Amino acid sequence: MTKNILFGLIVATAAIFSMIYFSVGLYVQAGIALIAGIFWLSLEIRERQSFPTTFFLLFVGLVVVGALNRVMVLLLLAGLCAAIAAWDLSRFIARTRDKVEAEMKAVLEARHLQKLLVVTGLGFVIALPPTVVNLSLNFLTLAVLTLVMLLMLRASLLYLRRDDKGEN
Amino acid sequence: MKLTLFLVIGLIFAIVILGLASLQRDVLVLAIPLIVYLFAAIAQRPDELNLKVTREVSPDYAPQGTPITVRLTVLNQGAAIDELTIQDILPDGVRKLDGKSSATGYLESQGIIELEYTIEAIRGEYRAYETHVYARDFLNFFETPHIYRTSPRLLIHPRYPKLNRIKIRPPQTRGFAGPISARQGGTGIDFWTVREYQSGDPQRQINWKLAARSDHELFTNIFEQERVADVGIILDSRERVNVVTDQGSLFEFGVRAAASLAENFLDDGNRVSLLIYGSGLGRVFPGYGRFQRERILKALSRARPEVNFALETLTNLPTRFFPVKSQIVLISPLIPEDIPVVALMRSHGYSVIVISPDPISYEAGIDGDFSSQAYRIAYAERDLMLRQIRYTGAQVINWRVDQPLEMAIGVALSRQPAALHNIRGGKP
Repeated sequence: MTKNILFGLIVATAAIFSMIYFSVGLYVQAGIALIAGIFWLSLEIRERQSFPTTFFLLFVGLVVVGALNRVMVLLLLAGLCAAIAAWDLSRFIARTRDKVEAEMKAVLEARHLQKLLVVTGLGFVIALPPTVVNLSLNFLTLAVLTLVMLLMLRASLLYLRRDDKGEN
Repeated sequence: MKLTLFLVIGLIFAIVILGLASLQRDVLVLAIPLIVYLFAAIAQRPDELNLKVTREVSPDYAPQGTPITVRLTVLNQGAAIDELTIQDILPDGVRKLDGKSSATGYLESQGIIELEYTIEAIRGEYRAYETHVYARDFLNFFETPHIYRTSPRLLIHPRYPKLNRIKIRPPQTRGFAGPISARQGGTGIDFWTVREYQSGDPQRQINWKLAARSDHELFTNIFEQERVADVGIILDSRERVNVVTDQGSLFEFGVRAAASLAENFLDDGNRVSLLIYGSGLGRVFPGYGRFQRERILKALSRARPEVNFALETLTNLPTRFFPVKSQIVLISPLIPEDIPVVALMRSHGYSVIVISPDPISYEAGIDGDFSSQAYRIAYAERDLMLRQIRYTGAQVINWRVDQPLEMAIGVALSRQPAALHNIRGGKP
């Protein structure tokens, strides 16, 4: 069942992005999304899950390009959530293949799918309100915000690295 | 900590910074699903593992090649774990035959995962087992590894061939009836001598033919007593005399020979002891019967060739560990420095049989190269050494390990009559 859901998600991701870009006249992006989707799907069908992260990054890039081109943000969000879920499921299938017994696999898959549905659904729902909120920021606030973000990024990376060393 | 975690964090910050830089709300919004995804992973991050790992090995004592069942039980005494991978690491010398030694699954609090598989192990003692456990959140961003160690004992003794009865004639025997000629008159089967009839001698032992030739005198047949003897087996475990190849170790042949001989002598009712010399001084004190056989097999299971600089030569061999004038069987590939030690044992009155697994032919047999100059020189040197040992009065069996031990013993002992060795043993 998980595999079918994964196939469905890849098809949905590719379809959403190609439709979006096709509708706004960005044919190159539409073609890339379609080809990437087909390629990813064919690899998954052949159980060669070597590059799911590459495809995921490609679709995130397409999302950003779409956002910069002021394409419909709701559809972009839906496409992004589908890409996240497809990427996650692809990794999940790869790491559980041949390692989990059938009975346990059913339990593990059911729990994973439930949690993934909640997480991606929650991500989509939480992202909806900001799409209608308009904020006006002056340059100084923006600069401070950027600085804070950079500091947070640095602090979080340092924390994670320290934590990782502690575990080892 | 996984690379994917850094990837997601990097993506989030990249999108946010891009959104701030481009002043586009829509770009910023795109970071939210990724942030939720990341926080879900952080919230579900596995806590400190609190697992109880138990292992059962059945049977825990078996001959080499026997299928052994391993049952591993993992009990979760902590919080539920979204994804748990268990990998049971097989010790060196152990091969999995059937079943699964690893598993991945969801483990609820107080839940149990059981692994059952069958292994086959080579001779040895196994005490330390490792189980690698990896707990992960459901998104596989965080991983907590842990190693659990369990120590049930598994003892694998060598599988060895049965031998036909080996005739030995040590200078001294013990008081109990057995199969070994004791060189003393008494009750037995083999004729020993005649003496004048004494009152009380049973009539059926009177030698009537001899009596018919004499005047009014009767003679009684005396038979040779048959007793059990003390047999000491010395297994040479010095690393310097061992030959290790891709296909195995010469020492293993010595171990199997020691096990075969011990069983053979014990089956005859003899008192058998064992000394494993080389890595240390592993001793099994003299004893009889089935329990002694088990003790010897257990000692042989643990035997391994090692370097011990104090025991590089046989000079420190504690020959007095064995009863005086008993039978000693030395199992060793031998080196020239060992000749005086064998001579010393003979001079102490021991009857010595040397079973020498042939390292030259063993090594040459790997490549099938029996015609090279090097092989011929090495063989000549070894032949000379064995001749010198034979000259001390010891019975020497040069055992080419590609042949059965039974055959090597049969051929060698038939060539060297026991009488020769008895005469040299100092007691006719």
